[in-house]
Amino acid sequence: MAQVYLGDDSGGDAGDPEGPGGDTRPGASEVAMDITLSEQERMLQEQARSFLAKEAPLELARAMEHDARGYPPALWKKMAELGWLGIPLPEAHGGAGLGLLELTIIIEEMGKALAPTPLIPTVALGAMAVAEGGSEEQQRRILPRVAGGELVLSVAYMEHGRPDLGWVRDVVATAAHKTKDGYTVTGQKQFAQYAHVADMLLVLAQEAASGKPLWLLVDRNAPGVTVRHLSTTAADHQCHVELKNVAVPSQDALPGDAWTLLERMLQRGAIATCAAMTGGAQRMLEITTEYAKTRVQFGRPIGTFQAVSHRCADMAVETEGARYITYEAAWAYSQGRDAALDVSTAKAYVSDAVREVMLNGHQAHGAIGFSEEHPVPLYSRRAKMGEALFGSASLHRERVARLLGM
Amino acid sequence: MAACSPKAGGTMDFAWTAEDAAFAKELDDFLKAELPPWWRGMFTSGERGWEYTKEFCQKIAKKGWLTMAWPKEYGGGDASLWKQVIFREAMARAGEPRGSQYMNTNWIGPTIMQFGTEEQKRYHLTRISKGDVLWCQGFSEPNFGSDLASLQTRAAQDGDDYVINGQKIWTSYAERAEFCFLLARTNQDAPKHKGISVFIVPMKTRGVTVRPIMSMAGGDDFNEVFFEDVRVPRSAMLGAKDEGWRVVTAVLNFERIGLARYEAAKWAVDEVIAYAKRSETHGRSLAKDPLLRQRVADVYARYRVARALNYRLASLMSKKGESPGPADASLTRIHNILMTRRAGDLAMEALGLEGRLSEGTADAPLAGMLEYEWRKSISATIAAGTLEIQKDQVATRGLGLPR
Repeated sequence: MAQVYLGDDSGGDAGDPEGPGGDTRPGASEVAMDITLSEQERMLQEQARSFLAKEAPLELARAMEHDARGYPPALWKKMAELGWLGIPLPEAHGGAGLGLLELTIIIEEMGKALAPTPLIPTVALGAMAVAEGGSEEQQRRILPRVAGGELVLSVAYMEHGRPDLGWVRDVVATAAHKTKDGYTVTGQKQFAQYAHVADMLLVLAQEAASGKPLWLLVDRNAPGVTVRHLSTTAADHQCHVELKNVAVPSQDALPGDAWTLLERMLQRGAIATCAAMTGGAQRMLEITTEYAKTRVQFGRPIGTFQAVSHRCADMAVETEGARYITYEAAWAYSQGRDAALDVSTAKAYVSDAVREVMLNGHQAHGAIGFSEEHPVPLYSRRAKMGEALFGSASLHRERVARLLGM
Repeated sequence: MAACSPKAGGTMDFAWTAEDAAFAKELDDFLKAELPPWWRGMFTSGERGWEYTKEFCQKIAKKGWLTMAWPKEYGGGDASLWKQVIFREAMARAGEPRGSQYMNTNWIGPTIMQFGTEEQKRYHLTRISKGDVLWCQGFSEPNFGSDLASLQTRAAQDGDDYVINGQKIWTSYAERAEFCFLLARTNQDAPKHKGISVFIVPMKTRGVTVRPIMSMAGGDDFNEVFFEDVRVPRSAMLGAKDEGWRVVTAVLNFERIGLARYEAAKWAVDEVIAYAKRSETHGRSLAKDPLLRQRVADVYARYRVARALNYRLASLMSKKGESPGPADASLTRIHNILMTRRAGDLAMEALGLEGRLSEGTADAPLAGMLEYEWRKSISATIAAGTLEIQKDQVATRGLGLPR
């Protein structure tokens, strides 16, 4: 054995070729933890990336902010053809039978491209609620049309004047009065995204006699429904919905437990919002890094200044964190686990993290980033909306504290 | 373009396998039974604690846990990286009963495995896997900390030997270590990154002296080390002459993610919650204080993010054909260390004035352990490369920004 140097006065114990005693454990034979994207997820991601690069350039997002409809039907149709609108819906009703996680991957890419479509209200909120709490007949009636791109849904869950930090808990003022063959519904809802172009609204109401909450499928064109388009920070086509003695037949009430459906819908909304915000943050990071490499001041690229480069590093750090905590929440939900803690953890973190990413992006760009002709405001305004949608960071932190037993 | 097809090809997976979960439980049960009642964590249990960590390491070495993810030929158990992660987390929660030997498994062993000669590997890895050797790391110098590559400690060739002169500082565990993993300049004329070599220097070699420095976290784990005409043979060199910077890069990548700091921070969060539930302030339960609830939840969320990113790195390292990006270790470390800082501050915030009672004082909540966590948390954003150095790594190597 060749010499190993042990010091000039060592006893010269030149090692012992035998390994340690005791039990050596067999290696894992089943699938180990792996939080990188699977082959299928990566393919989906790449498909979304290349499709959106071609079909949803930033000019489209900009144009759709001021468009009366707010999304291009041709793009919607193509997304249906790719199977995206049916991803988390049951195969029996024209879906792909996948989960929220796969949809989350698509939504993250859409957040990067700011692709203007009603995918979140239609699929992540509405159709998934019908799949979870709708009758067989309702699923048959609605889900295949959603998957095929023939039905746009909007969800009217929030009471007008009761934003409640973006998370509805136990107050429903919209009243559903029992009639011979259904309900008459009266109330005012706020922040129903794309309600102005939706074919159908999913409305959270309360049975007047019993005080029990229930979800109703309401035809947007039914007499007594008035939709008013709202101007928002993100120009994301939120709407106010007024219902005046709207007749809803019995077969349009979802049989599932209304509070459970609401809680799960809000969780999906929070996850989808986190994903879209993460995508936006990623693009903001890319735009800012590129700018820091090419913008020259004081005779050198501004990215050589640590005051700028460390902002970029911070953006990368926060974006990566946002991405994986979002995946974890989406994974937990898709696995059928109780995802309340995962979801609130994600939304609490992502809301704050992405705000910082956006502000750092603005700071690095200086005045040009304040110009609406530049991409930066498109992203930062969208993220600002996302911060408050489906629960603010402070609301979710309170939920986390409660779930941790405080 | 193919349409989305029904289930095929699986999904990412955030869950332990049944086997891994069983191992985690076995480990926790073992630690409950094994750790003595007086054990409060590394460096806070005095001399008795140091003695115990040696005993502990030998015990777990016998169980095959100390270096379980190493190859069998070097005293390992060929276990999956995930088992190592689970083990690391349990150690962090238990106050690191491996003492300073975490370094051996985290980066000294893996680096020797990567760069060592067959003899160096066989000798040192076997020693490490048995849990009966302590090391220290001779990197920083009084004038070169963040600017590590400018270090001035010299190793001059003299026949078949090298003669080392210089000084190292902030050398943890130097007084107890048997070997020093030393960086020294072997080429004065090359650019600064090109003339450094690594030496494995036995600490009892003539000319090595150690002077303890009292650190803010107390204890005796901080030192200066002086090298005066320290003579070692050529065989003490690790890796190629003048190419030590490659070794350093590998070391720092191992070191930056080697400790499950996030789990130590989680321990602090759990303790704060328990303390808040049993404490009253201004006539109501402290656990009902809305501001504290916000802070606890914030630190908890950051813990979850740090953990997810550590798992991401482990996923990339254990997947065939994948490897982490050049700045992924730094990016992950930034999460780990900032969360450590926040957890330390949260503990002090929650415990108020009582939280300022130090270890060894009667009435100190949790025997002063949370106060100690805060002291330690100060070093989190400095050791193994300051937060700013890590950000430089992310900016230049990760994002490709110009230097």
